[in-house]
Amino acid sequence: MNSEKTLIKLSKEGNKNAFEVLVIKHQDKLMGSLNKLFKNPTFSEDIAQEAFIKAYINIGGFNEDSAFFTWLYRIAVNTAKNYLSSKYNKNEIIESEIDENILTQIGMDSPSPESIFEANALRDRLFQCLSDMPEEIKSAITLREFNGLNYEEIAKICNCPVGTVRSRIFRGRKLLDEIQTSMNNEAKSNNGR
Amino acid sequence: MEDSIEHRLSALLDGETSEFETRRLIEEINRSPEIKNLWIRMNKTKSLVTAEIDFSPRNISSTVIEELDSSSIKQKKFSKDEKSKQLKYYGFAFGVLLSLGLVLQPFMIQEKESFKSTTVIPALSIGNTPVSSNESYLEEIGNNLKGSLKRIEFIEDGDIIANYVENDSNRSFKLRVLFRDLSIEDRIKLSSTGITVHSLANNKPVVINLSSEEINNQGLVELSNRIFLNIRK
Repeated sequence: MNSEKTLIKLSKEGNKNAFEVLVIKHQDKLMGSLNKLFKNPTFSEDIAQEAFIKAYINIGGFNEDSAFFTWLYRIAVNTAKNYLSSKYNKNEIIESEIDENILTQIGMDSPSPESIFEANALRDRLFQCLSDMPEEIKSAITLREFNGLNYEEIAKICNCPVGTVRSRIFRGRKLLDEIQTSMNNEAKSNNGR
Repeated sequence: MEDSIEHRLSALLDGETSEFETRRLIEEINRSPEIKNLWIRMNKTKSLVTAEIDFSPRNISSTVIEELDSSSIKQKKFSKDEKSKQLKYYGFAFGVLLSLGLVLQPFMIQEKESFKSTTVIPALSIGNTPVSSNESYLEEIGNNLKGSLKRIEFIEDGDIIANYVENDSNRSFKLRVLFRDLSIEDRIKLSSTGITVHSLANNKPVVINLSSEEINNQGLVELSNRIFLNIRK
């Protein structure tokens, strides 16, 4: 089974709903990777948006030799580099001046200390929740999220049917989602005060 | 009994749904804002747990789809036999290169200096220092990258492909230099293969594309930064 292949196939047929599901699936990873490179969330977000639009236009040419994310990431990095290159060409600087310094000079718009603090606090709670989970759920989630194994591989390791793995991972995610929801509600009520 | 929507979304998150199930989920996500929010939240939790984000970015999917809907953006048509056409094209180009190589080989071996002076490839410049030949320019790039130039391939319009091997890791990478501007279609096509920068040299457009089958994306980005940092110096 490969849901991503279906999402790509439908996107190639012009199904924007399928493409939106793909965007939601990859946006955090893409923006996270771009932000590690450019240290500027706003710029990373703009580039990610443009990259997704380019990806939609050209998805017919994606031959699936590589993973979708690899293809998307390359489009995003090239978009960023070309943006920076054209910016400097306009200033009549002949050579490409793309280096780490320039990439970080594009803005001082780092994430706010509050948002970093909130994300870290949420991550701590999620990990606490993960370590408190029943052993069989914790194993399934860990093998999936940190070792990248598919359900069949996890089923072999845990010596249980694939359906059980699917249920265990779902139960684990539900517990994690409850943490996220309660923290979001706490943050909302704090902001409302 | 059918699994709950959350149960099925969890499987979709892991790429473990059948085509039929995926199609149904796409419809359900699109039909219900509540389910869409759940899908967004599940993805965010996954990203936070796997440390793919170090802050909580907003959801850009709606902006992307709005942009696609509002403008006249259309998907490019790629014919099914495009790949075979490309293979035929590369086969033909390879044949031409091979013939050229065979014809030019004696001259290249005997008169390396004359090769430098008669080369048809326009010279680039590193900073304000003119480079007498592209071969030495490409060798210089190799030195900057702690790599060795292994082979140069000449392609149409004076474009070149330089093949390098990194000295310490032995990984190979390719630098494709096109001495012309490209159409939007070709730019996008090229952008999906490696890292590409569109720049100017001697006031003429130059496209530099870095690719490798042995170096991952992050490695290519770092390598490209090294190239452009050194060109600037």
